Amino acid sequence: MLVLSRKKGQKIIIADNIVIDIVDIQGDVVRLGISAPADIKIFRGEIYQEIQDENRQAANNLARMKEALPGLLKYQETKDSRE
Amino acid sequence: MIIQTSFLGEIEIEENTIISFPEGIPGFEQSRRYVIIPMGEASPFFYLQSLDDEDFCLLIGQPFVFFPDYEFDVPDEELQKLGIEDQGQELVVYVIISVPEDFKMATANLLAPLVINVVNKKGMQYVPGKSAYTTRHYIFQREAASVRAGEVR
Repeated sequence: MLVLSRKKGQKIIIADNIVIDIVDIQGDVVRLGISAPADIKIFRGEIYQEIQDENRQAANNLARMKEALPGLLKYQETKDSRE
Repeated sequence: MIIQTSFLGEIEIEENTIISFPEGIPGFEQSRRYVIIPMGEASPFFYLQSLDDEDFCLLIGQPFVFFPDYEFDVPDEELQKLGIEDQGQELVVYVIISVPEDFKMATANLLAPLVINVVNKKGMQYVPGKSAYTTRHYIFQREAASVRAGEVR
């Protein structure tokens, strides 16, 4: 990992089309301005992490429902009744 | 074709119903191929079953049934990844439902909806840069409120 020290007003340039401006620094909060092509995905790290965690939780909850309520699988009932 | 799944058992699917998620789903990035199976006739709930991981299945739902005012904006560049040009014709939206032990407290992830092009069968979970929504909105809002009120007492 590359670690750089930057001051307010300075920039970081990545490849030839991504520019990160250090807009402001207040205590432990840094405000960044990011200029990048539209097809580059940018999101706060914790949003992606939160969605990963929520997806895993939802999958675990569904797996637990199967153990708790085996009769819940209405899909199978519908399928059987059609046959 | 017949597939084995942990949750639904052995199920028969049509190969032309397989939906590819080229980037997977956050937390399950390696699972790229899925089928959507209705929970019942006319039900707003469906299962999203992975074909790459038989243990991975999600409960999903039609968001507008529970949240008529739900709205979000997916940038054109993201839609182009799915080959979507005419949104009304091709786009279908689901949200992932999480059901805790008390089903009345079931929540929908309105922050990151599933967006699917039903014509070319490509999908993604859209991760927004920012959103007014969270990963957990109660789908049975009245019931959830009364359960929570009960806890306070």
